[in-house]
Amino acid sequence: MEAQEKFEIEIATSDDATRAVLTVGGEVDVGSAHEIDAVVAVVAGWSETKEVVLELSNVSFIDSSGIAALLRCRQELDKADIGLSVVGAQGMPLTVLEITGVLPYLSAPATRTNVESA
Amino acid sequence: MVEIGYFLSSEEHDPKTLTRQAQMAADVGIGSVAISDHFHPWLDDQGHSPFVWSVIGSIAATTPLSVTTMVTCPTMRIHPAIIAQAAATSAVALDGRFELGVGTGEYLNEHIYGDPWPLADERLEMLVESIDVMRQLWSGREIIYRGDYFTVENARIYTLPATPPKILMSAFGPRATDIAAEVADGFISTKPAKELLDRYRSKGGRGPAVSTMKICWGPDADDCAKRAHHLWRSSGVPGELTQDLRSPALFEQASQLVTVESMAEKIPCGPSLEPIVNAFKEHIDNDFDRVYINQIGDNHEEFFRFFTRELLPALAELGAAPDSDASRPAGE
Repeated sequence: MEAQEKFEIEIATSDDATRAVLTVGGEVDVGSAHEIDAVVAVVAGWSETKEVVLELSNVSFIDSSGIAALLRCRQELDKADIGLSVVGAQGMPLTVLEITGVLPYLSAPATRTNVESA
Repeated sequence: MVEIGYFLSSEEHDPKTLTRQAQMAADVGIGSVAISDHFHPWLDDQGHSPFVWSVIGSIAATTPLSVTTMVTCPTMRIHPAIIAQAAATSAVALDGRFELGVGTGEYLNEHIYGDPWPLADERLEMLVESIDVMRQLWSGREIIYRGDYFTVENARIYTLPATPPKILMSAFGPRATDIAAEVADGFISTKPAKELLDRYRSKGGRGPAVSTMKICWGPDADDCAKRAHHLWRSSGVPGELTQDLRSPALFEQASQLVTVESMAEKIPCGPSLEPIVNAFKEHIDNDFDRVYINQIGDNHEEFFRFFTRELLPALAELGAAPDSDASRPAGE
């Protein structure tokens, strides 16, 4: 499959709506990162949500704006006591997530202390 | 005296239907309509989004109504010089009965050229500059404008109304409200937002405060609630960043947990007069001057009969009137 350039984001939920899956694809950069914030604000606003999964398999590029959006996502979900898993990153985006060392923080269990230490 | 207007939903209807609804509103004595200005509807299920300036031309040619756009974004998709021309033309076609409602826009409508989407503060700055551009053009002089966001060279609008259109500004937060108080000729809200309107007035905000309310009137409350949900569940999407959602498809996903019941709690649904009157009264109690009612769906002939026979007399008891001459303060 060719690397996807155009940014895309989709929202799906589990049958009982406790898990929201946000499937992100394409380039996550200064032009698109704000869309992650907008979608996270929606699912964090649902009273049913207990866990959010960020599915990044189709992300072809991520820069510091994208990393910043993922960190904000974690902070917003912590405020609402909602868990987060970041899954599927590969290639360049995985390398960036590893080098910046944010993966353990992004996918750690939700606690209020995450907000304070962020 | 609070004025009762009618709201034309461009998201739901084609231009001929919107014009027909405007004519029905005029026929029952309503003096003012507001009309939404989008490129996309919120949801595919709404199904329409005509070019608002063409629809206004059609309304101008066939009714004596006053028209307000609710709201136009004069910063991204369409350059303020062109909005200034469109507004001036509309004002001439309507013999001056035109107000330009403005706002900072939604990503849904404004990202279609693939341009970067500025942060909220920057979008507000762009709006303020666009208002300056439009007012300078409405002076009738040839202008050269080099702003932070917009450039206009040797531009002059030739077809102008006797007085420039008033600009009413939509504001959802305190910062936008403060700016509206400074630059706008009136305040727009989609709900009876008391705190924001009080803030607008306390900061010296002038002119009319106008708002909108949706109802889904019809013989069966359950059917009405389902129709309101089918067409407007997007209005139940939570979060403070819905202006950053990109497409009708994403709004559909974002509204998947909005229930029929929750819509019926927000929007008066069914044959009963009382919830509609109570919802309207909240706007009066919070000091709005003009409230545009929108009937969701396509049973407008029946709705306007109900309006004349039941709703209008009930709202008149609250001190509201559908006629702009009767309700506008002297000098407006």
